[in-house]
Amino acid sequence: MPSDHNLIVYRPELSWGGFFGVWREMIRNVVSSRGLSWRLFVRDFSVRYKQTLLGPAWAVLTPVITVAAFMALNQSGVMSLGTSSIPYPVFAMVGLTVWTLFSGGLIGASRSLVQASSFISKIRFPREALVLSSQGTVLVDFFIRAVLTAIVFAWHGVAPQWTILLVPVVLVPLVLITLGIGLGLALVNAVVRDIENGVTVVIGLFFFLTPVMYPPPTEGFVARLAAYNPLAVIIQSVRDLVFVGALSQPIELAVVTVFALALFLASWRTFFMLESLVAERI
Amino acid sequence: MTDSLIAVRAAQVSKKFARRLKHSVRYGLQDMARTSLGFGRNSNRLRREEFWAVRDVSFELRRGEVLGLIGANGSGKSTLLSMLNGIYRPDDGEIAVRGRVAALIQIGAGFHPMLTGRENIFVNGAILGMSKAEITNKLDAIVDFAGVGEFIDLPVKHYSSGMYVRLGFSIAAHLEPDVLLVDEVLAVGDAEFRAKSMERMWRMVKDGAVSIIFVSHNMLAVEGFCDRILLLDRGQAQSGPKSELIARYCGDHVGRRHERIAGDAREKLVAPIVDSSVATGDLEVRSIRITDGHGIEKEYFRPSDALQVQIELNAQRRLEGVIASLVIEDPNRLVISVERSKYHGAPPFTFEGQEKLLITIDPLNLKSGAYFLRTAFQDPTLESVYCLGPSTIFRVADEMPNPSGHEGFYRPNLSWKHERGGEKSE
Repeated sequence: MPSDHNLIVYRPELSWGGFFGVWREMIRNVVSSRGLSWRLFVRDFSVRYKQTLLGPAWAVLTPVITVAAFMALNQSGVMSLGTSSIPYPVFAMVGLTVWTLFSGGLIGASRSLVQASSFISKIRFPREALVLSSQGTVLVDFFIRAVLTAIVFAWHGVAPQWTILLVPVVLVPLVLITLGIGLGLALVNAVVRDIENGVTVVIGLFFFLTPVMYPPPTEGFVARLAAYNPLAVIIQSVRDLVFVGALSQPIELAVVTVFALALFLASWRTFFMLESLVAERI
Repeated sequence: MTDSLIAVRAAQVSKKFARRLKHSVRYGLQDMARTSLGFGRNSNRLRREEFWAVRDVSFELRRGEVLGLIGANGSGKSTLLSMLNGIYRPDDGEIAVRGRVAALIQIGAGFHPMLTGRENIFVNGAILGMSKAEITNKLDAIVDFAGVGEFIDLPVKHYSSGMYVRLGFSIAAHLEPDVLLVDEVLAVGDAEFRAKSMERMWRMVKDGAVSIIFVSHNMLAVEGFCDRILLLDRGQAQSGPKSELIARYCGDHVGRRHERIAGDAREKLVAPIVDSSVATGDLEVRSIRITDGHGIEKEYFRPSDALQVQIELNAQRRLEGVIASLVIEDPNRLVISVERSKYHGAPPFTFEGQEKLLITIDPLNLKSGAYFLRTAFQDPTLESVYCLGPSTIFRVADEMPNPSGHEGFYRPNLSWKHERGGEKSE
């Protein structure tokens, strides 16, 4: 019997044979595009620091300057960062490293489709590959910053708890949230470019509203917001694992993880259903 | 689609677009919201400010067949190709494609200017769906065919536009597709590469390995290369015999040229705009025949042959002082010659009722190729146009070699003489 596996049919409405058929197709799509995602990542990465003088030093320079700025604000009394037994640079570097995994990932994802618009409208390939590959450079930055953080730890003679080894587990919901929001924003940004500007503004706002550079406050508006802010929970959990050795918000973290997974799956499915509508509007 | 000999089948395929970006954005968000909530898009109906870019197009393409898509700019050719390529989802109808599709739609799309040619081959190959092993295997062949030489390890931003296109074509051509979509790409690149890429496509077709859908404004290429033709006219397809469709397209083309998008760079090269609607209709061309010098109909000529155009006319009323014009154009509608009877010493014509006009060109002095010939009849002041005749095609087959593929149109009567010594001979 001649197989028809290489027959592709295009119709106005997609049908993949029911609820589970869609998931099967979605997974197949991502699996088949893993080589391409890797290629695109290698491409983005290898051109990233071309025609720059400082090159990869930028990945180190940005957090150092941010932390230094906050220290200066604290010293001059403009802003109080609270007191803690942990040296401030150590404390801030942990928060900032985790935060930039989210902020960088979100900005990268939301721009990923529009940046590739010239070939989205010319070549057919799984668009997921663009969003995935956009996360590659963010991950590399994350590792560079993790190394920088380790150096700051050593400099101040602070030793982390052994539970630091569990940090990657806590970062899974963070990545799921990033992709969950990022996949959706990438699609909408392809149609309305407001997203790109909006994302930068909102992320800047949340950077200050989330206890990234300061310890979580116990009262006031930010404290109440932090209770509902999944990012605050994740960053707090990472600090717990690094400095304390036990989670202070285990239930909150569990809720956030379930929320992150649901958000990611819903967003991925929506992306898959809508990606073929993007080319004509981009 | 059970018949495995059919490579592509389009059934009543339609695609709509919004006229303005504002509506496109709004409808885009609307469609996304509806689809993600599980409602249908009702895509087969037009909303305000939408139009059908492609409407109810149906065709079948068998394996090893070449289908030509012709039509004016904006007639829907590229939109149709994009749907066949899976980039746009049809708004109505259905498309089935068997096997791997490669599109030479915009060559080099996805090239990164900072990366070397070699690195770009890997990226572009992956985007087109090749595995790493496959690309590695074909790397030498791709580089060799592209003919970019040692430039392969330089960033492509230093490439000339020709090299850029050659590399892009070479990657896509080595994809070994089952269906190849080609859109006007061969208009770029030098003559040698054009010939080389046509030859490669031709060989792929002859091997029965590939089916091609070929979009071009070059009627010579379309006529020579395609088995069948589909003429798109404002999104709707017409099929029929090749020569008839080409003639219809070329005839339409002249009249419709004023509707074409302004700023089209080619516009500057083509004929001065002649709008068929300006013709008063006092005169009618009943038939036009291209013959040898003795009145025998003929299609192929040699450069040294004589060509005689025989035109049968019907004047609705008595017309005095009519001036006839003869226009010869190349297949891209580039004007080669416009000749008016009054500058050739012909007396102004007086037409009444049935008339016959003979125009003789002797010798033709044209090189190999297809040419279009049309006529116009005007009043003595050249202010009003009585009639624009239809386009007629004739071909010249030149016995002399034409190594670069394109060495102009004009074959002068010339002789070569060598005089020894140059200045010494006083």
